[in-house]
Amino acid sequence: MAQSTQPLTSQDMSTAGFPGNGDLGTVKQSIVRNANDAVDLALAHTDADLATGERKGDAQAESLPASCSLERGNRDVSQILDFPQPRTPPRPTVTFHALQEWEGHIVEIGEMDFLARLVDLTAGATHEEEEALIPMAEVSDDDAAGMQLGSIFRWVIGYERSATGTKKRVSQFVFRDLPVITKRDLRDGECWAREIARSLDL
Amino acid sequence: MKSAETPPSVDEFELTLFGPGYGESIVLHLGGGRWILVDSCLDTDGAPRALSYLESIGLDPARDVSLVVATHWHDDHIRGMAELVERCNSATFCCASALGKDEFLAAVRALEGRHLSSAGSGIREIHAVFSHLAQSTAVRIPRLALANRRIFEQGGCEIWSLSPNDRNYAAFLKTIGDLIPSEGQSKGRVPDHSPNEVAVVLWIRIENIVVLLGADLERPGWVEILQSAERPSDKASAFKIPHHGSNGAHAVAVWTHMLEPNPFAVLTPWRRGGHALPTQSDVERILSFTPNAYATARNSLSRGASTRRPKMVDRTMRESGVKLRRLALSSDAIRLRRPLDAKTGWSVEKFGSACDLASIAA
Repeated sequence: MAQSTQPLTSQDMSTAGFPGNGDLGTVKQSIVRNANDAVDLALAHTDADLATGERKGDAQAESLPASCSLERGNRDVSQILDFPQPRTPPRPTVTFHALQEWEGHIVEIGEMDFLARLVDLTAGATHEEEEALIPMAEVSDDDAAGMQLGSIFRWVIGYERSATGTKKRVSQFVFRDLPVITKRDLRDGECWAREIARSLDL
Repeated sequence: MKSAETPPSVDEFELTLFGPGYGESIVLHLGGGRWILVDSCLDTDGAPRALSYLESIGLDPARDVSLVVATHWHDDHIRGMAELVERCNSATFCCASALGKDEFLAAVRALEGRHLSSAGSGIREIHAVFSHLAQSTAVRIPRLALANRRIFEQGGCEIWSLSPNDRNYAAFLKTIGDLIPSEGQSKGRVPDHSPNEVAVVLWIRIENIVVLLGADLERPGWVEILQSAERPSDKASAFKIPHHGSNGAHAVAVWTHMLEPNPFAVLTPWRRGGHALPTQSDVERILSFTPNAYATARNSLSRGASTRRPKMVDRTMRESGVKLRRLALSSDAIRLRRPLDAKTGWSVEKFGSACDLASIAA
């Protein structure tokens, strides 16, 4: 059985159409936030230094180049400061490359396995062209416990490359956390049904 | 054997059964260039098989199709139905009256109001069909089928629905309660195993020809049809065997009271996991009633090459213990034709891997 020992990276899950959770997007946001913080911090320091200089009539302030006329809101800080460069994004320790993805829905559930109809997402299929009998051991205990006829999942096969470059085959089943029916859905259903019945004289 | 692209003559009746794959679909020529479609399945391109067939013999679905019937809403009979209804825009749409009930439609909307899956489903097709009909600029009031109701009459052709009856209808309404999701319940795909009380059996007469299309009606429904005094009594010479030939849909009296001796009988096979229809005993039973029995394929699994994938994928699947099978597509068909005056018998053409049922028994 080939199962990942580490969760897929969020980039992988994003590739697989699932919302990321602590994903690279978040990492990027964090990087951007850090860079902005660095700018703010540098400006704050500069302001403070300048203010101090002004207050003190500090010679250091007077020695600043003319181009650094320190009018607030009109400063070219990169020329003032040794500006901190954004840090290089931390490389994920594990990368995942998907080779094959299916979407499946369960049509039969047995004790040791379950039967699913599969749509080949990699091939761009729009309907089920394959049927798979899948050992229950392939899915997590939680997913197995929550499994029901009609449950929808994503199945991804690919390889995982560790930080040291080791390549490992991975097969992962991810069950969709489907939205729950709300009162609004039910009201909408009733409303739609009335409208159809009225339009079509049912 | 004629080419599949040869259309019937104007005074020739045709019944073509497509399947298996994503289900079954029937195309009927009533003579005079009038066609009706019963149920829908998809071809290899994901298009409704009935439409690609009509186009292959030079017909225009928008002009030539008079009636589109959905015998029930299960996935294997309704894939592509919304496209049929949309493209055959001069045709009347017919389905079981229970499918037009507020309760059912509300459940359909609540379940399919948001798309949950890439693949289609029976519920989604029904939702799309009714949405399309309601939004159509032309008035397209559906015809609702009930037991012993004449749903179509035109130029010497009459079509009756023999089911569902009042009891089936009431049972269906009861089961709708199970379909309607309660608040807080997760949305999901409605399983195909849901009850099928409201399958529409069709009895069709055109001049001297009578055919019976059994949909997926199971035995209790047939017993009620047989007990009905109001149904048309002429016996059929061609029969679409119900529910893939399963024993659960078999009633001896159908063969003795509703069909001529040795009728031409056709079926589509079905398979899910380790379960397949017809079974060997089903085949033997059917052949005991008629030697003129045909199947669209020996089974519903593909005989073609499996999808080519990277070796790593194949190896991972093997090691995981996953057993993957390709589903057959709907390129197989049986075509029955007969002159409307019925002076000669049925001609049978088999396409793809369609075969005599006897060859399955062998």
